[in-house]
Amino acid sequence: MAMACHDQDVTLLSFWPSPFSMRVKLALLLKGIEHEDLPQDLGNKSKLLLESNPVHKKVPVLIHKGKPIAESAIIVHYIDEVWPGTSPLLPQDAFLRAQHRFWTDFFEKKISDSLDRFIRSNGAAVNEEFIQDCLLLEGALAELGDEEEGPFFGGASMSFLDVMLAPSAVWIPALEQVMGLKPTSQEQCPRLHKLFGAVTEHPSAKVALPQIEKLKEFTQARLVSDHHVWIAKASP
Amino acid sequence: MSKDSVKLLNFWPSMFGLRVHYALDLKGVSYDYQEESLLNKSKELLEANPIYTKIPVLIHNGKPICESLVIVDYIDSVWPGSHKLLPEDPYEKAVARFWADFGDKKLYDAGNRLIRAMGEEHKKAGEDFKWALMKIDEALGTIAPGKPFFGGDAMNFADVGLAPFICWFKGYQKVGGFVLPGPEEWPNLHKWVDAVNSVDAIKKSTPSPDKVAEFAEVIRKRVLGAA
Repeated sequence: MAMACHDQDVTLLSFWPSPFSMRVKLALLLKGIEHEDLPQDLGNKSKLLLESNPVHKKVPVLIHKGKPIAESAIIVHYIDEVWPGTSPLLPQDAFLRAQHRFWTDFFEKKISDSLDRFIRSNGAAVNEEFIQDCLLLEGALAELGDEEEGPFFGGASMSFLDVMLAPSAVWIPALEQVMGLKPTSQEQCPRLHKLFGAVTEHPSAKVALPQIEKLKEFTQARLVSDHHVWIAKASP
Repeated sequence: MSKDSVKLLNFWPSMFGLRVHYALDLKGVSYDYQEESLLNKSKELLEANPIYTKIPVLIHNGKPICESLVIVDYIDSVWPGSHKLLPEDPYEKAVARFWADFGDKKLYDAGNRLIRAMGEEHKKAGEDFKWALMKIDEALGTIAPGKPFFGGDAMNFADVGLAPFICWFKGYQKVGGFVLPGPEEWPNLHKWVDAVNSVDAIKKSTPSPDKVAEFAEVIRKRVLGAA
């Protein structure tokens, strides 16, 4: 399949508010991979997007040497495999890798799903579920992350699971401030709070993740508009 | 030299459990099997998977791994020597992961709605299910033209991710009230089904489509009764 119009080696089809798009951007920046970032209009999908991801028609898509890869977790796996030298993301140990993948899947099935339903119900539903699920994530961090090494699941540096969770560092505060989402307290989830704090301070994350104020504006606008171009529908 | 202890906790009709069976059987790994009753889950299951209390769970040397595709990935890492499931090439690996994931996102999702949805939603589930199989037919033609499997001559991660749904086709058609298009319309899919069904390792653990269809109809009746 020829993506003839762009001769850059690495192209990201992105959508800045999408947490899934943010993950890929973060992975690229952590590894210092030069790339072309092509923001997409999800209300009027480009020919390039539709050709690159004909099955799901969603962002993010990474196009490397003309070949498209879709689904954020799969893209980040790919990036880690093709550029293993800098900032390795997946752990060496098979069991630990399985834990990273399990908790990524948990985040998608439970936390991301709760947040999506919270948004769609205009803040009416699932806050309690969301808190319970964050508590489980706190437990995972206690088990998998060595506090002495650093705040991340990967210790001092970000690992695969940290990259998968990083967008929540900006999305949760945005939803809290615009829609009254009640997040966990620092007492309930001390390490998770430290992790998200460390994410927002991380130089690569500062570029990959949008400012919370921008996300708040975006959320506010969607609450009043008729558009159904919502994050969860926009990307996997 | 200590022997690996490998145990699979499963419920026989589960297509997710079947993925794990397929991965282990294709690699010739010996394992113990424990059938779980979903209405009376064993203490072992509850301890091994406290987050979801669901099957399948693989317990390897005492350590539990949950979520079928995570388990299959793990199995491929731990037993790489025999029947490698994930291709070496990163792009081909990504493609294989994509289609296994498609099984969850589209095929399972539509199938589940065929069992549980009503009215218009039920009708749409049937259309979505057929769309998903059509996409698989197309993908087979693009990714491995002229070959029986996503993995070419042998089953790979994508094949293992999708093949467990084959024994559910009969059941889905029954509760959905439709007949799947034949080989004239979906030549690649049907060739793939025949190829999968002829693999000895696959025959080992696949439940009979008639039994699965019976199970699907029981659940459907229960759903309709509760409506």
